[in-house]
Amino acid sequence: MASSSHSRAEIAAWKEEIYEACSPIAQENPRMIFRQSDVLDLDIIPNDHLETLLIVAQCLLDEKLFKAVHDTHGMGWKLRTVDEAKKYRSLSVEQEAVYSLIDEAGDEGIWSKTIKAKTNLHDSTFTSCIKHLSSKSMISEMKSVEHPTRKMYIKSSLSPSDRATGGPWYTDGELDEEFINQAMTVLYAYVSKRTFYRSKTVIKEAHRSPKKVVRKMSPEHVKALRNEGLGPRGVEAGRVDERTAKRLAYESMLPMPAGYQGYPGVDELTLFVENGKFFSQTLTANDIQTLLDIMCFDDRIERVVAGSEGIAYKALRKSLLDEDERSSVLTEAPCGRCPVFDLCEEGGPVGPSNCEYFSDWLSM
Amino acid sequence: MSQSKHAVELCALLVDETYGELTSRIFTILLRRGRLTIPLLSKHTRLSPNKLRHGLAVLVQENLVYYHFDEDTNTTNYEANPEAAYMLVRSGKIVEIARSRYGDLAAEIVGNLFLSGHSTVKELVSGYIARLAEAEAMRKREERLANGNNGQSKTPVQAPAPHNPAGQMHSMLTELLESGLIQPLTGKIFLSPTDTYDKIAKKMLQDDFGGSIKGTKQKEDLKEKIRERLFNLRSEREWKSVGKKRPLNGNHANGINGSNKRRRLSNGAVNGDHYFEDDGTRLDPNMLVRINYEKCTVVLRNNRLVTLASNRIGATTAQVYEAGLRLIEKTVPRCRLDPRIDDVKDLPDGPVFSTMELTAALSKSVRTGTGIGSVSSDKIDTRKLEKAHKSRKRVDEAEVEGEASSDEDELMDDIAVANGNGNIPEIDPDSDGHGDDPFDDDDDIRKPSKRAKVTFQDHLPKPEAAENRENRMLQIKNHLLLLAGDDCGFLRKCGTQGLGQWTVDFEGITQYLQEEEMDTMLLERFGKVGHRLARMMRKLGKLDEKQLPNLALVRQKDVRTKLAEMQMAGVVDIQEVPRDSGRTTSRTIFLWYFDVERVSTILLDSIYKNMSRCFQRLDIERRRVQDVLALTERTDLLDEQPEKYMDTEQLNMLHEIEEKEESLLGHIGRLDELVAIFRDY
Repeated sequence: MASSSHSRAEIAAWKEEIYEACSPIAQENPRMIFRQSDVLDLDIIPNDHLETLLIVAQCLLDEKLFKAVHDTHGMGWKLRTVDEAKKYRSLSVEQEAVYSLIDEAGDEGIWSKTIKAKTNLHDSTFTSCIKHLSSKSMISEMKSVEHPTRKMYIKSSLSPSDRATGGPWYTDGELDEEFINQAMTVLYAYVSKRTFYRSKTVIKEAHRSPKKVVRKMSPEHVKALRNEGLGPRGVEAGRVDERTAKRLAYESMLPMPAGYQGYPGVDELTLFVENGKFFSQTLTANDIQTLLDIMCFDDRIERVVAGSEGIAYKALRKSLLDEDERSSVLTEAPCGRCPVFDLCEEGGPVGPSNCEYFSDWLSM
Repeated sequence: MSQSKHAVELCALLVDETYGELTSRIFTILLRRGRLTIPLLSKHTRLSPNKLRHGLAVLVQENLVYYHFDEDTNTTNYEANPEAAYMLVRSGKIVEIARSRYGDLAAEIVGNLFLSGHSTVKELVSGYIARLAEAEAMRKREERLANGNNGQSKTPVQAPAPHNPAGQMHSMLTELLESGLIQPLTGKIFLSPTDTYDKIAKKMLQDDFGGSIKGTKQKEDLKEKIRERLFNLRSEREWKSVGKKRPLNGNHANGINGSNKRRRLSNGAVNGDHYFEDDGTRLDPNMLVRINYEKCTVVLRNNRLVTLASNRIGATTAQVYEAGLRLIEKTVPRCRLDPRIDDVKDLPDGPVFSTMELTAALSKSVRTGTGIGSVSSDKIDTRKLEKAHKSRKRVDEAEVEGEASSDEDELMDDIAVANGNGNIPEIDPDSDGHGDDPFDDDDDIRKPSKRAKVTFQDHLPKPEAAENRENRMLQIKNHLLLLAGDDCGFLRKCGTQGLGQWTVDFEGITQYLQEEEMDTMLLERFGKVGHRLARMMRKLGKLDEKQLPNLALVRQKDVRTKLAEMQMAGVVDIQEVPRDSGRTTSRTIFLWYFDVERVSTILLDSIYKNMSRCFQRLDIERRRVQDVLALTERTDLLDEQPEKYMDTEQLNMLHEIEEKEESLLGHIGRLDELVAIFRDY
């Protein structure tokens, strides 16, 4: 037979050669699938002899350097690194099956139930496999935000994907509401600062020449000023504790003229958050957009067509007031917040004549 | 009005509060049972026909009940008019409007009309004269008493009676008719709208179609004809200022409002003595007048819109807006069009006003120079900004109206206006009241920029007054632009005449008002998260349950809890869409949605209930201190101060009940504002 004519050494040499030739390509594109024709095109197997190729490929497979895959175009091989191959070689058949599934799942991780279903392993075997792999620190458990109850596994060398961790909004798989609120506060402060013209003269000297606004300064200068300004703002708000002072501050916030182009857009806000170094995490423009959308839904800011980016945001005037200051008429009197309002009826179990809430309210 | 249980309850309470128990009993039965004849009514109310007729007479007089005489069966049916009954709750507000605009006399007229339903001009005038005489007699008596008591008079000295009370009354009535707050009345309004419709339909069918119609085309035709007829009928009813030889004391330049204001100011307006001269207008003494609720609602809506503008933009802009709304108020007869009467298919563009008109009408005390932040003192930049905005606006307009958009157009506009302004002092030299304008300095700020613009356009510098006037016009325009640029659409620019013409799309802004009220309610009842979710669903439509936590950045668990809570309250609802025929929970998409219409209906009903509870409680509170209240109602003590005949305990009780009354009625009034937003505006 032709195959027998090649010595073991030859085969080993070809094997090495093929692996060497394939690995740079695989490094470039880890998803690369080598097909039979690709390997033959390397011109390593003499005379494109299929039998020889079969033997060599089998050797590579045995050493776990190759991994057989099927797809729509038929069969092919994927390359494994030498280290990976070593790991694989140390595993039993069951362990290998489990490990390969976890490996394939990549940074998304895989659910234990899926592994069981795919490998058809017995519970105890599966547990021992997992135990073995974990003890070798080849795999580790992970939590996915989308399915917080599922037991997921991932290769130790990888960190979970953004989808699994939920992006910047999640900390340890929990939605970090504190962080989100903080980020919105920062954004709101910036937007509202740019929305209103703070008239210092509105009460006493409204007819005098108003002060210049920083709009004409260079962007860097403005930004610097603003970063400084964010500190004192809080102090200012804390100082005015009287009702009248508050009202005055509210009145002195004047709207910008129609067609004002200086409202900030997403890009500007992203830059501001980035440069401000408020958070350890980086927030992308998309993340900022999400926050802005939510603030729109919260009725604190509003989209306007303005500025260089086309779409910009401005703060709403009523958002300047505290929430408890804008109570609705309906809930003012006891009926609006009455827990038994549906039952209330003259002559019923509760009614206007024996209503305690009314008594309290009227004697207020 | 929806005939929900709570609405009926409220109407009955309102009638009871204003006109007493007999009427309210009849009214309630009519509301609950629909139209009834006297025998049936007698059976349900268990009142004798005699008493019943008595009560019905009152109700008909107040237009709370419609009647319809059927010639075929020779019976008369009575039907309740819940709209009019509800309007009773608004009486206080309407009287207040009349007072603030036209003075105490107007308030008195309107108040009397509320009590009597309708009355003739003759009655009103004679009543007024009689009251004046009585007041005069009282004053004299007081004076005599006061002289006896060391000259200490208790009541403020009333102004001496005007020289010509009848003429004064006539002028005031004309004024009110002109404004539309009251309207002349004909017998037709006692027929319910449905009956009127049927009657006309019957007649039309007989006259124009020979008794029967066939096919959808003829049906439509008939409908259209009836609508036209109804429309004409209504316009006949409306007060027309025909044959008005009335250049109000030769001072018509500023329109009705302006002239009133000036007169009021010149009179000091301290104790509300709006001295109205007799301008020779005489009304038909037998003419019947009544309050025009539809128009009053328009006025109330305008007030509400001004508040909204003040909340969203600022006080000064709101003042400008108020003046603008006043200008078009005259041409807005009602808030909501009736599809049975009005031609809803091809509506003309709403009433418009121009910047120039507004500048003329706006009170001089409004500081138009304030209220908007100055962006930059660099005028070129400001111009650029404004231009950018203008061109953007123009593009929008061009898209809508197919109008050509070019900057030259705008430039031409400016020049034309400048000329117009230059001419004004010549035409109207008396209106040059700028010399004492206390806010001249204010105008000065913008002067440099304006000058630069003028020289740029190669114009000669204009006289100071014109300059000022133009400045003011520009400032006003800035406010108007701000209003038009706002998201809730206070104004819409619809032309370029007179430095820009403006109109108000009431429908859009009313919807905005409703949404805002809904949001406040949601925020109060369901907190920040509920508010966020509901607004999200309103804007984006139906949303998958799985999407919501990601969009709102709220924990899935919290979202579910909140949504369930809101579903219990009927605010949001869920729709299940199974992905396969199995209908298992895991294979089902859950879509949440927020039905605006349903929420406003629920809200409205709960407001009705809220209001009736307040009334009921008020009644109970009153009953508790009945003996004290009875004391104040004794006829022999009516003229005395309660301090004179009550002991301390009774006085305390009286003050307490007065306080309670105040807070309850005040709350009802505020709730009524909500009802107006959701139902009437």
